[in-house]
Amino acid sequence: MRKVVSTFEAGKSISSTTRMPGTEGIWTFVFIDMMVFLLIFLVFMLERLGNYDLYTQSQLQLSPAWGFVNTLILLTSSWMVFEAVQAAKRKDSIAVSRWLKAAFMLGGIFVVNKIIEYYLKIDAGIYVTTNSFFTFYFFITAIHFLHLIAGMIFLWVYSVLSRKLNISLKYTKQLENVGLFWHFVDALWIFIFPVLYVI
Amino acid sequence: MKYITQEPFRLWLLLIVLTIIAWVVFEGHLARSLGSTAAVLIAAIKSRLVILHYMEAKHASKKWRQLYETWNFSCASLIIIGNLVTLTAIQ
Repeated sequence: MRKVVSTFEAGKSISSTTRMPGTEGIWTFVFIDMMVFLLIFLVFMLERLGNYDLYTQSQLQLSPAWGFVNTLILLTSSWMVFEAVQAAKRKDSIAVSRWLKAAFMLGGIFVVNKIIEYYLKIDAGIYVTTNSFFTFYFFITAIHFLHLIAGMIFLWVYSVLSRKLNISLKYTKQLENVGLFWHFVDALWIFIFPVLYVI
Repeated sequence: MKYITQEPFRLWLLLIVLTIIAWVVFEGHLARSLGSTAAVLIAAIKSRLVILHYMEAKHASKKWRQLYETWNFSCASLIIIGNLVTLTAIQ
């Protein structure tokens, strides 16, 4: 269903004929980020083609259970962030704060899981320089980890702002941007898991 | 408990079930290529659901929806074809 959204902010009119969530800028930013990861996946698959035995043996040293649990965590947090955005549209600041904090907590569990996973690898003598599979493993998961940390900071900030400020159209639009970024972090992990742990 | 009857929760439930199915396929030690392909296909379905419903790309302009869906399709195709080519090459 299409509807017209029109408001007047910062001295200029903002008009849209769609219910498009977030701003054009965040859709562009996330798409650029997506393309970077697509290229990383391409290079990984090409390297794997020439070193299949090494990659298979190295992959056996990973624990897919960590990736599986982290997938469940991120999917659940995505749902919570979606609910936070819907609550913002209803101007329900208490629900916005509650959902964002819950998603933040799940992000925190992901962080703890990932740190333990890294610790276990390093403790087993596996480093970023061990071989090219583990270079990809540490590089891809660390870049994703940094995205997650950035997303968590935004979740926390907008959780606090939801209680301090009135839920305005501007706040809702910004929260949609945060949500888009968070869902991207989730979608990215959905592919990282099979690429590194499963295939 | 009102959330249980709403679409976002049911979508979350579907995503969780798909993740568990992928896990069972992997742990069940089916033929490696079949298991890998199935796991990536399920990942593509999950990612598409997240993009369309949680990112609300279905409400975004046609341009963005098509670009994001193309990314999703490209990722899945790249991984599946890359894996099948690798498995064929080692035989």
